[in-house]
Amino acid sequence: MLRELQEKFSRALYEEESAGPQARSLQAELCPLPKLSPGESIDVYRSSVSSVFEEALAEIFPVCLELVGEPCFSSVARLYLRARPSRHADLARVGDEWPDFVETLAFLSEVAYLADVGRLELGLHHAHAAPWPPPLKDPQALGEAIAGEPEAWRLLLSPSVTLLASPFPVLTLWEAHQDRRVDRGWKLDPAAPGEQLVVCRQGGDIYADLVEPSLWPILLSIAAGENVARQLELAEGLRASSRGQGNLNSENSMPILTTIQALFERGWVVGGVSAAPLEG
Amino acid sequence: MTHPFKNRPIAGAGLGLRSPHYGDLMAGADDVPWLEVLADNYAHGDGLPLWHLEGIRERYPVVFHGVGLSLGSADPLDSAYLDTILDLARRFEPAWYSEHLAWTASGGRHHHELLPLPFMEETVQTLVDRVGQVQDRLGERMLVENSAAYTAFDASHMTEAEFVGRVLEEADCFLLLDINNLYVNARNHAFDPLNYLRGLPPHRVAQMHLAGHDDHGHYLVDAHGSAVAEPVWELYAEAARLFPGVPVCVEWDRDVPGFDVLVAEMRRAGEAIVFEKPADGEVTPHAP
Repeated sequence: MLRELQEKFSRALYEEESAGPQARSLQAELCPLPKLSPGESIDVYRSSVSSVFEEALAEIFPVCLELVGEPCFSSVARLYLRARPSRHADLARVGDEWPDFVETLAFLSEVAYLADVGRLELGLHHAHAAPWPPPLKDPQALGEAIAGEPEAWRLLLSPSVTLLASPFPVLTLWEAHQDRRVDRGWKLDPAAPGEQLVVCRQGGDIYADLVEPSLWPILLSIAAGENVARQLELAEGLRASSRGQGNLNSENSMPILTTIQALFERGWVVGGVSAAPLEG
Repeated sequence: MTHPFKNRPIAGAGLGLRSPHYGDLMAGADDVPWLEVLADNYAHGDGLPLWHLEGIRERYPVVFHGVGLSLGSADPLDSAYLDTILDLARRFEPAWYSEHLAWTASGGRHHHELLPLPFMEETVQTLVDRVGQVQDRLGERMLVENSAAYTAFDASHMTEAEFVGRVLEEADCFLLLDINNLYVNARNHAFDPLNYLRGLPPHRVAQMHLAGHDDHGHYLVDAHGSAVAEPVWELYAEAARLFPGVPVCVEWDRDVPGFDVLVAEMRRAGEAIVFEKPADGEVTPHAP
């Protein structure tokens, strides 16, 4: 009986209408309180559940909330609540599917960048509690080993890293909300190009930064678990194409190693491990 | 019965740990004797939250409190979530762990809200079984908290006080007596909270909670977003007399005020704690 009651209660919480059939079915199981009817009692819980979700989402996506305004954000939160049930006891994970969900809502097509701003904010949220990377004991020895045998190593991104490529200038937009330029008349330039960015936590600092176009394929390759030799190829290919040449020149491998060192210094890359042999 | 937690470093009035006050606490708030950590806030990873908690733990004794385990659910116990809480407990060594007499999930769907239970035999047995599972994994007894409820079920065939008493005795666990929840329920359900207090087994009351509520005119909601209301202070004074030496925690979760406001509430709560043994009680108080 407990299970049936709880299932009935759960269904009434997410019903679109507050006095819909699920709520009426639950009301039959409830006693009136001296000053609260069963219908009002159910509404107290419906409102409370909704508020908990909305507040949690607002905390994760503050700029998204500003972009669409509170009434719209609340409506989207209620739709999300019904469409994507929370499957984890941890409330901090409640926003994990929110950016993908808002992308499916046709009425938000005028703010097509909303999902990517959401992905940026979700990245910042996850970076907060991402595990600390294991300490790098001997960076010089690792660097020498990688330089000597790049096909035998793959680099590790920080657990806090999120990579995001957007057709919209989402970091520029997000930053305009951080420094309140939006309150001083700043407007998004509809012709502005898209941005590729990284979200990362280095020590206690969580930040988002643009990624140079030449670095982007290298970061994607690292994220895909490819070996360092592949990243050398990518770097050489980019350099060759910028020179209008098509052949790789292995003697020019030092710049990529310098780049790798810079990735370590920025905290985006935190280590290297033996690369698994290629399958097939 | 000797209180099992009497030798632990939790005495007097403490505070619920909230992130806006990390700085004040790390700067050394000497008169905050202990903190209640909402374990769920630290269950989603590592990184900065646990780094902050490590710093706090070096300076303050802590107890763990939970909201996400859904003790009263008909679903199987979420063992992965319990593992996370137990890992945290091993790392931070709280004096004890408490959860709510409520449910938050059903059919694998989490509502993230403390939902009401029917006071019936099946619910008692569900809770006894699940508290037993947690205590077995924990290796010691836990505390359960009386929750606020804004409805009542036809299926209930005992009072809340009888229900809570049954769970405490049959699960052999302890009570985190939330005075604000008791007051809210007494007002919403129209019962005498003093009778409720007097019916509780004193040897099972191990901690108390104080918090603010929202007054919606014809009903109250346990909202944790304001100062403790005067009638709740009055009820607490009676509870402090009935359950001498029991430590109390002031909770404030929404519109969290400045640290000084919380400390003032905490001090007021501490002043009401009675440390002498009552004539008819068998409790061993948490005397510092």
